[in-house]
Amino acid sequence: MGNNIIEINHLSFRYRHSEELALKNVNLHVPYGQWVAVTGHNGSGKSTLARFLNALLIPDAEGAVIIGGLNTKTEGCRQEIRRKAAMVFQNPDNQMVAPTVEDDVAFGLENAGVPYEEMVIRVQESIDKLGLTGLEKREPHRLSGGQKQRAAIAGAVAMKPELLILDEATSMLDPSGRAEVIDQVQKLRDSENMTILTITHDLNEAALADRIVVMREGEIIGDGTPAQIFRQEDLLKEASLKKPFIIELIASLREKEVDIPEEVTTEEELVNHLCRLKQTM
Amino acid sequence: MQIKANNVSHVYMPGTPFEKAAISNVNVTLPPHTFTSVIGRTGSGKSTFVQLINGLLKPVEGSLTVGDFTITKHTKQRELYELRRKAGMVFQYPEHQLFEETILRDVAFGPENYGMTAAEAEKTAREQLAVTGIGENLFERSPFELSGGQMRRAAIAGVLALEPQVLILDEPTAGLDPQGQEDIMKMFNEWFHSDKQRSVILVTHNMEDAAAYSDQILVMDSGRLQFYGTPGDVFSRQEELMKLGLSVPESMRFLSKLGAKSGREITIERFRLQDTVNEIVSFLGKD
Repeated sequence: MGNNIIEINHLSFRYRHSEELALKNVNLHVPYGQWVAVTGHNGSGKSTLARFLNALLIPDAEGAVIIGGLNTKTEGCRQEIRRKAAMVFQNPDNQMVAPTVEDDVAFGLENAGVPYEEMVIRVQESIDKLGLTGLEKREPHRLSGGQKQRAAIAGAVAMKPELLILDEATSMLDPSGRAEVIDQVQKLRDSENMTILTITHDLNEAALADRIVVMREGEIIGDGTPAQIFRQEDLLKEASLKKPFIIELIASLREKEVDIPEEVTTEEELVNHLCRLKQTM
Repeated sequence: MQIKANNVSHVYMPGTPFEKAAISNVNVTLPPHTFTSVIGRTGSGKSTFVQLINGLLKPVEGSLTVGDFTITKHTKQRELYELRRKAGMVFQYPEHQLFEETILRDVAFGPENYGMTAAEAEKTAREQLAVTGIGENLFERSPFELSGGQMRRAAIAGVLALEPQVLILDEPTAGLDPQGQEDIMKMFNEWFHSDKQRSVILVTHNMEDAAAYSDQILVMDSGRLQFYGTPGDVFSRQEELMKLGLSVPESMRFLSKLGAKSGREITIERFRLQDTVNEIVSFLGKD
């Protein structure tokens, strides 16, 4: 029990006016400190699931969502749950509310009534953690997409959440913005031991996580380490996902009878392996 | 039709404290029936450039010729009406612009607005919905009952229904899942190849798409056209692209690493999986 920050049990959900279930008997347990990537096609239920994690949606009778030991059904717990589970959304232009980066990062703290001295410290810490040092006074419209999303994450991190949820937070960014954000997320996981749940259909991004959960039509159809998931051709096809290029390349080379051992899964390893093969030929 | 930018510059909010140069001195010719991609980081001027091509914006300096049309700062709005039809624009997240009660009426709205009779417009709408893969069972539904991918297709059908000769696509696959992205790009590619009069201009962050579909690629940064050429030419300038916050297709990146590490000659201009595999197989077989 106590080792899981997320416990979802028998969660089903139907949007009003909709015939289909958006979530079908979802069960998911996530231990503290893990980075989970939830992936699946458009409309597979990923974002709906995320909305249950910070009590934006509440399960009906049967299902339960328990975050850090608190049940989202208990009304008195919801504020505490939202403090524990911070969420960053897709569109960088819809998330900043204040005139400067530092005001924006301070916004949540101010609302939570954090004393001024502590607020100043936490704002600066978060700005530094997300690599935004020097941009404190910058206005939102003068930031790049990647900087805006990092500012949004800094605002979330300043609240010292136990769980950070990124709902397609990189999908509207250009490649360098995307790399910036992912880089910082990796650092947060490594240095802060924060639990991270990213929602994405970019499997290159998901490949960096500890665990990948694959959804289709409201159901979890796959759950495992990236290596385990990428081995399951049918699963990926069923979920309309595209394997990372390097995994695809390895599979096609094997078809041409190029000998590649199981443990080769990255670009670096494949280059080295091919060079070795070349030498022994 | 041919599209030509003659020393084009554009400035947002000129003469105000917010004045911002968006495009500076762009010169380029896009020959008839070409598929052109425009790449560059956010804020590099890509979207401004393509909006100049269909007359949504007018150049502050220089001129654009698009087929028989010439656009300068003196061009009057009503002269651009016909150009907008010939150069159809699919904006980012085009499904946000759906508004009619049914899919069919939404797609028919454009052609009717351009003077077709209701019956003609409906016929065109039906044809274009078929092109974009929307089944007849959805024609009478409200656009808002469709899935994200279907809404995107319906919105694209609305642009195709004007029978444009140039299709301008501003990140048309953003937010779609990988299968949806591939399907939509294939659809545009088919549209392009099915008529010799047609051209496509694609603004994209996806280097794989730019490499796979384009005849030429324009690279923009800070409002300037930095360089352009075939996918092979452009992506062989890997270091310059990295400096501009861009990347090369993964197939090329892999082959260039393999070449560097092994010290052998390798052709790195391979953009498709199968071509990459063949290159590696011949690399292993050589000697």
